[in-house]
Amino acid sequence: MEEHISNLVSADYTWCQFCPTFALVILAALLLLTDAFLPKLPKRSLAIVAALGCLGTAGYLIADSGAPLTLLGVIACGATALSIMLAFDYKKITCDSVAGGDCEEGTGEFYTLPLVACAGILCLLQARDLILLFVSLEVVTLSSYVLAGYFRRNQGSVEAGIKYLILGAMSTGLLVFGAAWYFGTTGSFLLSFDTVQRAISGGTAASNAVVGGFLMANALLFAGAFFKVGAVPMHLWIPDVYQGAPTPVSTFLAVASKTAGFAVLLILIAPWMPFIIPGITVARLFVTVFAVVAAATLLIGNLGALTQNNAKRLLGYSSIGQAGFILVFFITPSAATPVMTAGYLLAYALATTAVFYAIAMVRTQRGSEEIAAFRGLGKTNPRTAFLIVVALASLAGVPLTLGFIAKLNSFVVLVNSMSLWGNLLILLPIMILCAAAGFYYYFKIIRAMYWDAPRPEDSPLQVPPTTGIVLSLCAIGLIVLGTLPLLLNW
Amino acid sequence: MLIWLILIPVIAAACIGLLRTPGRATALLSAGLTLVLGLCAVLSPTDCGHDCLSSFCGMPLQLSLALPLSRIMLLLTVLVTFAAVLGLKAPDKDAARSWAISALLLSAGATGAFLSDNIIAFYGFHELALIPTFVMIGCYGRGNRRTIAWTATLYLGLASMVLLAGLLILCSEMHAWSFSTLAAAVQAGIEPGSPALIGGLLLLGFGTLVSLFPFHTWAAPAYASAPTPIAMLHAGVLKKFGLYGLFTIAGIFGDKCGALFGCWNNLLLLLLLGNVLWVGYVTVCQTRLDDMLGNSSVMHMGYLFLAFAAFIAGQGHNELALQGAALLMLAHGLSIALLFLLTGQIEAQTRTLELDSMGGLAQKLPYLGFMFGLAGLASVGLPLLANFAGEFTIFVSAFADWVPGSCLTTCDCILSRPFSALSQMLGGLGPVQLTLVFALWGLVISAIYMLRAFRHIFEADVAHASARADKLSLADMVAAAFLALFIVLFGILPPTCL
Repeated sequence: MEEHISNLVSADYTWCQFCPTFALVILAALLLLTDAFLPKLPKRSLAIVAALGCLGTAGYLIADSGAPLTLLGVIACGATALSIMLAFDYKKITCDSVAGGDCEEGTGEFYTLPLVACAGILCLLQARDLILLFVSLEVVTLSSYVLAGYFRRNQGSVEAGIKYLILGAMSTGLLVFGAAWYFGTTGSFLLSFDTVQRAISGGTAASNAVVGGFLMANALLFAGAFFKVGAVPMHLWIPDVYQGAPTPVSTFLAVASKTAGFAVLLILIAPWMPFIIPGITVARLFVTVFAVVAAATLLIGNLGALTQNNAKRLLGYSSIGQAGFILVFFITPSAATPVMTAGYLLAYALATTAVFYAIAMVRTQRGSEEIAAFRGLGKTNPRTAFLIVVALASLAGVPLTLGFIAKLNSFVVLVNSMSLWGNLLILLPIMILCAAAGFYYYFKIIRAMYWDAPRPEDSPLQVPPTTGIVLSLCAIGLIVLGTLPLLLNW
Repeated sequence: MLIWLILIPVIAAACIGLLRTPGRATALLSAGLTLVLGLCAVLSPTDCGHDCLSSFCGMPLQLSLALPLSRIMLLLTVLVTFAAVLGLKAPDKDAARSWAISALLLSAGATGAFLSDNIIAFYGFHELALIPTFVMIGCYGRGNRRTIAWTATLYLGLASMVLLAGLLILCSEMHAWSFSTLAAAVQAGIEPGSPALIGGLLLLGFGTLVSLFPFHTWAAPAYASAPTPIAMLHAGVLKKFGLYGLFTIAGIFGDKCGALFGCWNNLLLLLLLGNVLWVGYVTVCQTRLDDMLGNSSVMHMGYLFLAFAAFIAGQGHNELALQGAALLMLAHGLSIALLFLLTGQIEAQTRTLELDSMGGLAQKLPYLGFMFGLAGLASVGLPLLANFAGEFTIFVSAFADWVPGSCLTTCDCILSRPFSALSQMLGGLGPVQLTLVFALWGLVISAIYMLRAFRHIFEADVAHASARADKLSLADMVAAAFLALFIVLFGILPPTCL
């Protein structure tokens, strides 16, 4: 019996695959224990060890293999490390919103929980069956619920936590329900070509029923994944949660958690790849659904961002819009999809992290997260302002930044798939409109920095060393990676 | 070596921005270096082509001078950049830094666009150059600067996206991502699947960037508002990007360019008349010098589009049209840059640009009057000045392959019926020739507004505003003389060999 179950569930996993996951889990447990038994220890040390642990894991992953999914792992680890370091810069507000006053007590988990979530993401990347996929995804989500609502003295944060929890629970429900349908129609939890092929072959009345059930299963599973990446119609939580959650947590959600979502999508879509060709009935449905979702995500994300005045909320809508551009890769999935997704996520991660760092810096020193709080940075902090401009320009897709190459890929993929699926031409004007809208709303922050004069009481921002280093590294990365491919005749 | 033409301005801009070196001096050094390097590159023997110029530390670069218009555009860029930086006069030290950075980045972007072999880099460099334009208009522009900057951003942002879509479809259908591979693909007989769509998108995208009627409304206010060096570089150099792109792609397709653009040609002819005549009349009505020059720049783009239409109508064999367009792009770039430079100097002297409140400035500053007269007459198309060579060649090229009674554009497409009806009435003139007959009136219009402006500013009694005029600095005089020298030189010896 036991063997039977293991056949249903397990792909051929090896222990070695999960080494990074275990390493992070053990580190997280050690840090939690340290925090519990040595409450006087400054939390700075916890944060530093946690961040170093993440970076070390990222290094191990880079050295280990170059598989596209591993790249997602590297991005997730890097993003987690950066959000932990941001949490450290954000200490003043954390203390104020958790314990009140200057007291650091009870803020230890804030630095260690991201590690657990990151371990979940790394585990997720190895998943080839629905059980492991679900369990590891829940590890990520549960830690995120706690983190989103961590500032219990801050109404916005509590609201964000509850919203995220309720909507997240619904998406979890969809995912589990989808897994049940999957098992019911195929008799297995394995995500493999054979399973899909058997399930969609159809022909007889009985197998036609299987096709219907299998599609239902996939619809539910994809809906669950759409929640994580913030694709329409599962995007409603994003602006509220990003705005309400503590900025380091928003960073984590916007980058690491979104990476996890796309990893889930990639894992779910992998067995489908050979079947998305014209002539297969199911393929037409698949392409239509993804095209509609991508179009809706692009439109709602980018047009919704136009009217935002709160920088974090703006980034929330922007993350929906950017997800729309990534979803274009998934309309006609191919062997190149994981690489391009990873590339786009890298551009998005570098730029978004940088902007969140800037927001956190403005928030701690000017007490506001409105776009207007960026006023006059071009005059008071010209160098920092320039670095922020690079990040925003990359998000908008200005050429010679990595963001341009990423967006360009998205356009190229669409144009290429138009030769097989002519109707996708409709997406082209939508993408053009959304890319142009991006110029408008990202430049709102640039406009505030350069066109609005600083008020007399605005002193230059003190740039914390971490923020300075992260902003510079992100900007340099964005420009170097964005320029080289165009100049060099590789 | 070509990479340095881009790297030097970027490095200089970084020095000014990050190390706080003095703005104008650093920019001048960089512009001087690129001027020398650029002239060397322009004059380098053509057969040296790819290998000796476009590599960096042994790595081959996607930059080349192989395209027909590259050299002449590079020449224009380095000349105007040098003059713009030399004549740079900002209100304060911080502004001087920002102006210098923007001018350098603009020039680096334009150089990159004109030298790129990779089509995406070609597009990307141009986009990059647009950013300083917006920022500068928004921060330092005259008049209602923020609205103007936003209008320009939206127009150009949307146009760039349309253009990108066109380029992507072109590249993806031809399986070629650089101009050289595109040329190879055309040689190999590969044809794009949807040529008319590509042609339409390219024409709309490039056209808006060059302020083709009716998508021109962003241009005149933007030039009028922009700080002097930005107006010089944008109107003089960067705007030519669109025409450079159209001519390059049409040139690569050679006798097959009709498939891409042929069916839009009649529409284009009608629109360019909008540029020459409609915007021409708008120009005559302007009461401010900067508005007038902005509109005049839009108006003259009509002649360049006429050259393009003649090129397409000649199925890519009309070499004269290409030659004329190259000359006029160079000449117009130099003359409009000189006019904007002088506008900045006039404003600095009189603190106004209202034509009615100036007068008699020539008595105070004869040098300025002489230069303005020269640039204005060049812009009108006086023989022996550079613009004449370009305009005349274009006018001739419109009749290049024409035999009485034959209609050059044979394809049955948009607006062909009204044109052929008109053509029968008028002794068998083809659409291009008909358009030329109307467009020639533009010369009269430009003479009217240019000479009127000269009279208002420089002649008659010394007005109150002109009485303030002091004297020009040496840098001002040298910058103007520098451009004027080349206008005269290219008028006498048009650089047809490039």
